[in-house]
Amino acid sequence: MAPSVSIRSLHYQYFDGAPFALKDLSVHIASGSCTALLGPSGAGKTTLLQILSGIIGAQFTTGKASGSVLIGDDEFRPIPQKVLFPSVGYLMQDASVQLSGIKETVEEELAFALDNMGIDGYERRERVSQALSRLDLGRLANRRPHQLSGGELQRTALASILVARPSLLVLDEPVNALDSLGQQRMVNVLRSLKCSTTVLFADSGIEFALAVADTFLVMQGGSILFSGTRNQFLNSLDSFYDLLPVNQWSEVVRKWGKTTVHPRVAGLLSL
Amino acid sequence: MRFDVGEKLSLTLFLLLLSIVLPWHLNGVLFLLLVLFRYAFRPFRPVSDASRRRSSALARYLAIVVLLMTIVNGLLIKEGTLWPLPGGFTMSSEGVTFGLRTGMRLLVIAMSLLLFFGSTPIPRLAQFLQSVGWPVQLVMTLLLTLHFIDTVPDRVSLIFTAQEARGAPVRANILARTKAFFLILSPLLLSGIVESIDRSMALELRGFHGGAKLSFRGDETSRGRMTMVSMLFLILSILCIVWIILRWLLQ
Amino acid sequence: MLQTRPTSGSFFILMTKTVREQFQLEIEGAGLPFVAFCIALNLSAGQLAAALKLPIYLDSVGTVLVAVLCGPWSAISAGVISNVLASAFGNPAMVFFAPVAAVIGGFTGFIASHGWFRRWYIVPLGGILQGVIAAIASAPIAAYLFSGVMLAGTDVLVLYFRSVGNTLLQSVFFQGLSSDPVDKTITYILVFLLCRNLPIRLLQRFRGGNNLPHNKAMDRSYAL
Repeated sequence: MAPSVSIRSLHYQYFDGAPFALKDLSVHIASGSCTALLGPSGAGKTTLLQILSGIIGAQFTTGKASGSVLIGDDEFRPIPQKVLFPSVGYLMQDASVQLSGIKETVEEELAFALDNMGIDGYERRERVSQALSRLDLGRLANRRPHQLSGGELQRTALASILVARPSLLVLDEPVNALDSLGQQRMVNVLRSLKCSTTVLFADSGIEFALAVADTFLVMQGGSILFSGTRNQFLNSLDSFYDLLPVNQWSEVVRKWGKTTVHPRVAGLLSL
Repeated sequence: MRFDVGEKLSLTLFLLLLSIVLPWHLNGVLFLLLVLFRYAFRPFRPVSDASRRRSSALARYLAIVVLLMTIVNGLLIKEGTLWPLPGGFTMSSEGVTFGLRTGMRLLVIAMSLLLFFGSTPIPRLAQFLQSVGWPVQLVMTLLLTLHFIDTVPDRVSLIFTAQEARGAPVRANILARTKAFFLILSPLLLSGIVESIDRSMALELRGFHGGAKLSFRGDETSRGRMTMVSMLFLILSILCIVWIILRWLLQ
Repeated sequence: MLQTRPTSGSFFILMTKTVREQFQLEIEGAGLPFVAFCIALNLSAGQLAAALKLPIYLDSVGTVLVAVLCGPWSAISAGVISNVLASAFGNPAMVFFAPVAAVIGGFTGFIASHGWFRRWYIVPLGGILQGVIAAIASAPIAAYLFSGVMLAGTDVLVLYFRSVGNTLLQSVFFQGLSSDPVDKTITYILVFLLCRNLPIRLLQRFRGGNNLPHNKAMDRSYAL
């Protein structure tokens, strides 16, 4: 059952006296939805994702937090204090670090999480096989991880999370190393997870988000500036022209029929 | 003929102890037998080209060093029978014996270890260690080290080139080179710490806590049980230790 | 907490359990991958010194780093594994000096936890002491297993000390005394200088982060 996520008045500092990485953040993410978390670098996107995965509570012992986080029926005050694997799967920004570095083949790499869960035998083989075919990694099953290209590495990293069948999937810039074919594959994978898994992903661009997400959140300075559907996001895009990559605007205008743009953006795009 | 990791390890231990027990001429014979082992027995053949080249190069290097060691000790140690040489030098029997005894022992030790490590990939060794009860975290550390051994030299080379490009005195006088050493080591350490933090997060995010054992591909026969062969070599090793102690007490 | 008084038989089990718990505390979080990185550093630092044509070994710089940032038990593991892998990668004699590496790791971890790396003027003293201890620990191994021959330039020193009338053990010990304190002092000073520039947010990720002073000027630059 895909959980909903509710965050209430969340404040977070990495240590006493540090600037707030998250400031009075409140948001609700519906069960089974696919939500895009957008914003410039330093907005707090990765911090939010890491809080939801539990890694921040587990490893950053000097952090100061207040507020509450509700994931499904589990409430954390203020934030989860241990990693919520396997119910929450987290894909890191750097896929090469996500892999264990100790396995000799892609297939073994995928099985690493299952070893930690104590799953072996038929179920282990079945889950690995499913993940390999879902991310089109079948022909790479016996390849050594260090021989993979950037895109293959990213798919392998995602597959290594999906084998655990998380109910909440949290992705940090899942398409940053992928070409257009790889991005389309990722779109298909995330669409296939709708309803069965709640997906929240951070992205620095907007094209991928527009292709796959149904809810949009825009962050800046640790706070949520906008929360809404795709149409609401497209209608409000003018407000975020300085937060989101302008090089994608012409594509957005062409593909999504956005006919009005901020005058400064229009000037840059020579519209 | 199959030798699992445990059997190879117990054989290596026995050979190491045997090299201390045997006189130099028998150590020489043992060394030649071990060289033959390497080519004649599949379980002891090097598993990769790199280990094959390494073991050949090391064996040749050691043979030359043993020869030099024997000559130098013969010239410098003035005990026992002294044989006159041209140029007023003398070669002592004690020095030659000392050199041969040490040299042959070193050859057997080196060859035994080369046979073991050359024919046993580190992941197989890690699998064996886990099966005999090593903590999972230590096994993980050993395996992760292999990853860093692959990446650290490239990183060093990259930082070296980058620092040289920005004017670090990598080819100047010794004080300047010492400063350059620090300029290279500092970013290397920083990148290592950052990667360690990221990797620890990644491991924990995939459920690794050091509780569940790591799985390995392939060899299912190494389950940590003591085989007859291992037991035989361990008993022989114990007998060697007893002999060494007795010899030391009685001399 | 122990609930029962340990008997002599159970003492070893309890001590082993305490050691195991202490080791796990030292390597939790970033400690485990960091130990692996430092072992690789031990094996590579010598190559870097050779590339810069510096007459120093520094094959224990990683062990000292682990001892300072993580603790003694993880440093002992780092030292032992480094020596085993050094044997695997072409220097077979190194495995026999694993006990020396363990002594280096254990001693350094012990003094680091007592604040010896917080004051710059105590660091060289620790290095000299470590060098003497390393020379004492390595002498019997080098003398009785290898008869003082380590296939290094310092073998000449052993020959010299023997030629002036010392026993083999004494000769090896004097050779160790002439090089180990210098090498270890340089290693200690290098580790101190490397670590004092690290921002506190990185140091805090390690159990031994408080063993070092930290440079406040570096604190602003990292947001990990």
